[in-house]
Amino acid sequence: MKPHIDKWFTHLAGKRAGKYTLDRYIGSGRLGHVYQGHSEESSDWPVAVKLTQGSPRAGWENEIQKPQQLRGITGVVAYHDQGAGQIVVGRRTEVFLFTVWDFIPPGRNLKQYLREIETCPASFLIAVLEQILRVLHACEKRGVKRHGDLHPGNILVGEKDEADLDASLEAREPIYVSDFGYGVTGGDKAPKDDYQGLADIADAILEKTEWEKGTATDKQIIQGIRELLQKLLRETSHSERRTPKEILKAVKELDQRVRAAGAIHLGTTSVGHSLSRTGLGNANMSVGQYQVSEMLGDDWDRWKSLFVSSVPAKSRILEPDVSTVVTGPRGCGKTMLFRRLSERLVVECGPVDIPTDFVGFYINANDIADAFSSFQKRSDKSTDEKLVCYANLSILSDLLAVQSARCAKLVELCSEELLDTIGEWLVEKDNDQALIVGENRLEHYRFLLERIKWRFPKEHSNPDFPGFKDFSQHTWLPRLISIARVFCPWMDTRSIFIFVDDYTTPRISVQMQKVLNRLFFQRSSEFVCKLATESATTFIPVDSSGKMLQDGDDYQMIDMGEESLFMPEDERLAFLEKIFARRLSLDPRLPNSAHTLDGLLGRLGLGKLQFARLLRHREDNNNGPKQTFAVASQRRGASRPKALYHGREVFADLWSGDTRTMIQLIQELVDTGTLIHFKTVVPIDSEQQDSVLRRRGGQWLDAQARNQPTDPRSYKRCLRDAKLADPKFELTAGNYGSHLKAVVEAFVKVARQLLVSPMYRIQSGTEFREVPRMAFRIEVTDEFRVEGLAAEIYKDLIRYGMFMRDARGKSVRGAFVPRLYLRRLLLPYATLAMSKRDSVQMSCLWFRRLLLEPDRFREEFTRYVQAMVDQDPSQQFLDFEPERSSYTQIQAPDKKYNDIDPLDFELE
Amino acid sequence: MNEAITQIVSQLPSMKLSRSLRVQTEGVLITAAGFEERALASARMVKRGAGQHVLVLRYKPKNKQNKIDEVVSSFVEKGFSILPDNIVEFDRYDPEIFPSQLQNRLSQLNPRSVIVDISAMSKLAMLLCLDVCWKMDLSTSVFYAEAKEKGPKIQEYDKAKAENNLHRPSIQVYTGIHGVVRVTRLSSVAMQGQPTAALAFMSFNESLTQVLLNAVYPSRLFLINGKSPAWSWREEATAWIHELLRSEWPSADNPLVNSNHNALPSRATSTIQYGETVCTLLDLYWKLAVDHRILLAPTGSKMQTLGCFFVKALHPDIHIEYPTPEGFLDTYSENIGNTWLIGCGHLKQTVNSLRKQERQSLLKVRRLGD
Repeated sequence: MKPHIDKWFTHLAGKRAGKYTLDRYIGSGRLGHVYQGHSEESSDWPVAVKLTQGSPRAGWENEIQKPQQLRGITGVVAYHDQGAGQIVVGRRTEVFLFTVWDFIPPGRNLKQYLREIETCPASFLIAVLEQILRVLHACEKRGVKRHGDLHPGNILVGEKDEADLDASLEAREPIYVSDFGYGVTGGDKAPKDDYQGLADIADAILEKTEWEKGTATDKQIIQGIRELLQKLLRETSHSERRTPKEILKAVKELDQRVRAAGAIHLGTTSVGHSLSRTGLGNANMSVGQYQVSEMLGDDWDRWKSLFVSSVPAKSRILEPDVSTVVTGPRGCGKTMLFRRLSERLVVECGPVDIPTDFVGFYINANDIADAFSSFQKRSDKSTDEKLVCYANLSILSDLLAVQSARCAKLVELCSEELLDTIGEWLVEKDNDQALIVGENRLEHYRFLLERIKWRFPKEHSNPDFPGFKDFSQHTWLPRLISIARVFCPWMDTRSIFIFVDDYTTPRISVQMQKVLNRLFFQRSSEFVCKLATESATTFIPVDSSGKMLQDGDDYQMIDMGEESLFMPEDERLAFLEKIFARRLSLDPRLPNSAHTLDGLLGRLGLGKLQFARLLRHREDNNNGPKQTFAVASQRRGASRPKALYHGREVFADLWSGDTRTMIQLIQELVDTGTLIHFKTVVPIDSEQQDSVLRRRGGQWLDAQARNQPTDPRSYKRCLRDAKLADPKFELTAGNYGSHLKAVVEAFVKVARQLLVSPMYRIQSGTEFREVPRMAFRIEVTDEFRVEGLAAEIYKDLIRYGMFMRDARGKSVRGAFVPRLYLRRLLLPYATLAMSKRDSVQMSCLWFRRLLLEPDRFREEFTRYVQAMVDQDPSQQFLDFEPERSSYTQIQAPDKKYNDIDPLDFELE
Repeated sequence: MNEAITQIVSQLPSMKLSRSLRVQTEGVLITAAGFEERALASARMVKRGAGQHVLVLRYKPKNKQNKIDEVVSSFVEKGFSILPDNIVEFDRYDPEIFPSQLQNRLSQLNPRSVIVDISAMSKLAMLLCLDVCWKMDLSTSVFYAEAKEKGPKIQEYDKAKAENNLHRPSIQVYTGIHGVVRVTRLSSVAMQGQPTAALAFMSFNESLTQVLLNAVYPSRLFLINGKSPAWSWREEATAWIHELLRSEWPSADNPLVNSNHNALPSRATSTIQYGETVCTLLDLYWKLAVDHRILLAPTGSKMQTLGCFFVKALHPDIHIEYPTPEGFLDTYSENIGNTWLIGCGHLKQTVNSLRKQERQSLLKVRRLGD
């Protein structure tokens, strides 16, 4: 309740209390009125004079004794004098007791301060609490039992005095504790409990502490402090109570821990922890947990235990002098690689086991796009500048996060020059929130930076801050890095990589990419960018100046899916073994012998060619009625083993870079093994493996029926054109996703047909061998021209990873023609061979038909192939072009595609 | 459920069954000319007007089934004023400018109170209308007419389930998905390095959720099922439709009521009593917001969306993304069922009061009553 203010006391300027002249009224409390005044002996020494009306209450002298005992303690308002007096104004006369104290300009208490500001960061809360706890500690040590009247009105927030520098040579606003309570235990007035008072002060600040727009660190500190104080301050038993020093230590530790650890494991009772990712409470986890790095969040221990550094094309991705655009199917590890190599994680988790002579900053392009919801429609100079500014701020934000983590984790001091520079960029001159004593300057600036970012989504507002002009120029980024190098010794002369994740249309729209490309792909000796995009078709290689960005010149495109395809078999297996050895060993359901893929899955024990021969006899439930080709001649008796997809070689062959899917596969294999046998029996039964691998492929393909066009507007326009050209045209199965699925199914049908058709003959040494056509690759045999709706479908087949593009491609009449691989995960579902030796060749006309009319393609191409096979049962020529070309003749395949072990031929 | 949250939810504006509707003098009614019969519910129920203004949302792209003429003529016949400026276009695929247009018109009319008829309103339009009323601190009521029948029918669901065909159009009741739409007004800024937790509602079209996931790549997914008081089988149906999608995410984030494989998801809220949605969303918010950015997709029922509005108003750091259906089949809904009125008072004051109580309960050292 607000005390009633007697107006008479507000007009006493010029009156005297003893030798002190009252200069101006400051405020009133329950027991007195406070004025700024001066002594007649020293007019330039401002003092605070407190008048207490009438006779002083019993115990009033305590209010003076306590600060006298605390003389010399920083943050305690010093007492100077007392006396009695009377003032006459008009017909009213008041007698009073007065006490004289240091005047803390501008005469503002915490309550008033909080009323004046809009919001404050968690660093302010920490600084005020620490200062009060220091004073309470001093009370304990100097024999002052308690303050006795702690509340926000008794905490003074001084003004910055440029003459008074702290240890960091910064002038700051000081915090003082004043108005010690006069009540004593057993006296007329019971003293107020200091910890309850401290809780009130914390609550008053918490009410103003920025939550919604606070940094993640701030939110963690707020929750942590709240829970800590609830636990420590609400303890009523004095014997159980922690001392102020212990609480101070706990507050400091919490602050340190949050900044050092990202703070998801504070060890507190936060409601948030019931959903903590480490709900298992120990190191155990199921093999299928954390399928993508986003799920790891800031769980640094998991990062340490699950990251495998030997990713495909790692050295090419990390080349220091060329920008890189990394693509690959979802879950292939792009994000995991970028995040793990970023400096923030290097600080948090330690260095990775590969030489990293670079500093990486990580930003997620989605975060940039979210602040510009309407960007794609409205791009003008001003919006472009805002976008560039926001991207530069995001990079600075990560740089400061790294610095903050280094300060906390490595007990490193942040350079004052860096802080001064950041202050010049971010702090507005009329900023009414100066730093207070003890406040963490770096955290305060991080808070300001994130608040500045909140100004950007407001369409018509100018996110003005002192550094805006510089930050909105794309040429500013090299300058920013060079300045940071000077002030951050840890950057030194190391290469700087800017890792930009999820740089993918339509989220990062075409127009947005053009503007950002100018920033990220500028040539600079200071940094290079490493971008991750979903597929080659979701990256727009043009910048806002109209310059086409050339693969190989301005950047290097690396497809992790493609890299995985051409990885030597032993490397593939070794990489997957590394990934799964870590996961399998953490799953308590598995015996030690199952901590390797070999132990868990066993081995197929057959070469690819042998396996393909067996597959020709396998009933194919997924491709309609069994083919009627005469294959009886291939039989070798009734005991022919079944072709079951199982073993670690098959598992490794299913990997198209999509590590997430492989984790799901193993999870399902282990779950199924456990369900049936209660405890996993290893190696898992081969029939079971076969069943899971086939089912999972089918499920994955089914799930693709949910896919939507990447660019709905362009798709609709193209669909309209397709219907204009052919009014009967309809998507297969009624919707876009199902149509994509139908394309896959049509291709699978044809590939299977070729597998079970009579084998072709090749010469191996002096002998001729029959080889089944093992194809899950499409090769277009003439000029690759795909436009309109077919192009939209083609792009999305790649984007959604149903086919993988082999950008090595081939040249047909001087033009580049990409090869397409069916996602390997689908091979068991499609009952296709594991070898990439052969291909399904077709003209671009057929290919367009496959894209646009998969059902028709399926029927017609099957008939077409059948006719070819009937004409030449050797499959020696599959002449799918009107003009026979030598290309279609079966030849020894390119070395990089020939994955058949020569010994395999001998094992027929 | 956190007791403090339950207390906050008890302070939410209450829902009342209403058989009639009255627009105050100098009041404005905002409605949408949708294709469902309930687009006409407010026009039928409202008491005769004396020139009060009705603002009608006209959807773009145009749908011949939309009842724009019927809605306008019904209100005009009852004595309401619908000037050309009172027809406000809502582009379902690009609603960026809609809120400022609505706000301009409302500023011109300077109403003493507003009734927002959400019965046939797009969920995104509904959020934006309420957002405008909130920012303008208008005395606001929400009118909602349930559909008497909703598609698909249980027989269609049973058939689709028996055939294991969850993509059957009759089950989906939508003709397709346009894409994920976001609006500056409902967006938030991501803090550097913060992982995203997506909160979405189960519906008869899990493509809505899938298209969202394809666009935003969240770290975690939390699904909320709907419990329809009138059609209890729908809860099981929407759970089944999302089963495959759910299985692709950690089960701990989307637990079932028991370990039985066929059990229903335990996180479910009433499709009518919006307080349950507020309760669940606030609970998730306070469990996640410390180390996640929260992305909310209002893909549930209209009243679940009303719950989303209150939670977004309380927490501007929540980011809204809306996977927008391309169109709806005729089977979407039929006839008019129960009609509800929710008097929200001056929205800014109501939200501020809820916010104050929430901060006192959940962000203070001393708890209420200490």
